[in-house]
Amino acid sequence: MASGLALLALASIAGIALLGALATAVEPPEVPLSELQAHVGTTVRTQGRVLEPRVYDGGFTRFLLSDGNRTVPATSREEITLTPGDTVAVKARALENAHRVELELDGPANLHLIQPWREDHVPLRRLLETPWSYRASFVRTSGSLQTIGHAPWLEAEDGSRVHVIRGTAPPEPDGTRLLVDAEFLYEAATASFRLRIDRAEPLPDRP
Amino acid sequence: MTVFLDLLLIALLGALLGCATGLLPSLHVNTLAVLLLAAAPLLGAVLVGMGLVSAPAGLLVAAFVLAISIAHTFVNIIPATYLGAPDETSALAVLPGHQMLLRGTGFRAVHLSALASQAAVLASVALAVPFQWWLAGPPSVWESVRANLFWFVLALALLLVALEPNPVGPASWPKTTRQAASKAVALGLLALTALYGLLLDELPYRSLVPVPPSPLLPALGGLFGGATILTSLVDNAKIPHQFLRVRHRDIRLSGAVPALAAGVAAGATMSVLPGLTNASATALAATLRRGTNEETVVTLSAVNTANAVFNLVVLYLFGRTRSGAVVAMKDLWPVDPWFGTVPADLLAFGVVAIATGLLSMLITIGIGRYAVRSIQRVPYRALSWAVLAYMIATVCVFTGAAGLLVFAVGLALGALPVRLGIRRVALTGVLLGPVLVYLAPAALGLR
Repeated sequence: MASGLALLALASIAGIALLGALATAVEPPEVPLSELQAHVGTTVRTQGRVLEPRVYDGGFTRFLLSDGNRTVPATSREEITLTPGDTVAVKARALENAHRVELELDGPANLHLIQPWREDHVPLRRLLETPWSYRASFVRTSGSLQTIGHAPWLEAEDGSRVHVIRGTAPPEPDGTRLLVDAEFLYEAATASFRLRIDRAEPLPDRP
Repeated sequence: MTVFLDLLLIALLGALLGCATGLLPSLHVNTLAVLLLAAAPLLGAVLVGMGLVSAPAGLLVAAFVLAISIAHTFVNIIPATYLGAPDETSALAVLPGHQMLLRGTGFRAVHLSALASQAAVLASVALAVPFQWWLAGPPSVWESVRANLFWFVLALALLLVALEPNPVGPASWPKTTRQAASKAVALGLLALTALYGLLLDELPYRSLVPVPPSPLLPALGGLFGGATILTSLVDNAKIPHQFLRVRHRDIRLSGAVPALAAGVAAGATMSVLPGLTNASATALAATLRRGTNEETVVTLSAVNTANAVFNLVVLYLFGRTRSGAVVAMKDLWPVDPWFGTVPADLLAFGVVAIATGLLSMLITIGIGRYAVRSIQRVPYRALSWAVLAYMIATVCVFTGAAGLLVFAVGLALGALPVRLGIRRVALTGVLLGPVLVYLAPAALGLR
């Protein structure tokens, strides 16, 4: 009886030690965002740029992780303070929700900042002159909002303009001058560049 | 009126399918939800083909998913009690349920569980409006609960150890020494299972089917289900004659009502807290309540069913999904936030929940009565081996080799309290440990 009990206790402790060793030895694979589909149901390490971070009631944090080609929604069960444009590495579970791959991480411990976003102002003209050098990067720029047809555009004073997609930025009326933080995206379907605005701040009108 | 009849038909269909899936040991309702979502277009076509067109197909299919998820929480007590083979949510119910089976009152456990689940549905639907006020009303109420939850859970865990009633050690030891030893052993087991629980999320599981692996399946299956079966096999347990009569005096109202209230409260609380599942809720409720086996069955059954209903309410309040079934519902039916009066579609879901509960209660009692007669005709030893083999196969399919290792360690841990002669509720460390670690940083001001 006593030896059986000792054997059970020993097996339990040895088993937990073995599980601990296994957990330490097995590091999740490094997977690009575009290959997440093949790793659904497992924990992976991946990296990308943070877009549209939002904290919800109860501490849930949702954001998008983008590598310029693929954007994947991510959810943290704990609150994380994130800055749009930061490049981060995450350790997260890849899940499929409504035929769409998502990432789920436990909290701040599973996210590491690789490169903070540099808040350099890039004029719209320069973006349009050398678009490929800014492709998929997060930029700060400025201009006036204009609706042409049904589409919103950001137009600089020199007349250069870019089609914009409003991300989490609040809607502003036409003509408002804005300082925006946005992702400069190439849309293959229309072979054109767009700015996805993540944060916008009204600028005072010029005298 | 036509919509009402259609909803009742949906409840009937959902109850029938949910009761069928609930009978499959180890199949969690979240796994089922993934499969249902994939089959949603087919389900919609079938419902339209049946002439159910009074409401949008998306609403009816979402109601169908709700009905299945609720019915599942009723019937999963049957494999948990009769076979000792639970899913994640009914794992803790194995303890009192199987004990009752070995005393000839297995059917009473199933009967009480069915009644408790339906009472939990009614209470949860009735409490949806006060729940909304509680969460969206004076913020201090909810925030103070949330801020102090770590201390509450820690106190419960320590209470669990302090209240260990069975002395441990040789009879020659003084009584106080044996009692102190039992508390030390319970604390050790709680810590050991907490460590085991913390390791679960870090292992490389591989599912052989296109369903995300769940670490709790092998862990709770080993700790509670597998260990129960293995103990029965080692002890050569036999199922005694089962009593089919259930009398009012089997459970006192003064015990049943607080047991039910504890279950509903735990189910509601866990539907809001991020990171905590209804398996955590059952662990909390099991620790909170130290009643008779009958009262514990009532509490644990109420937790799961109440949690299924409150998860839906939380979707309407915050747009947040807390279970696989609600994720599937959200994808099937667009939900507008609940401000002011109760949304009409939520009322429709409430009708489906109550009707499904009523039907599932009757089906569970019917199947429970039939199954307990059948189980007495089957050699229990052979049945136990078959169920153990089934559990190992399920663990292997859904979690792979890492899951099998977790299951094996769970078996050893689960057998320890039986051999030591202490209560198996100390094994809830597997759930309480991760909950405490999750809540600790905020409570201790570490972030």
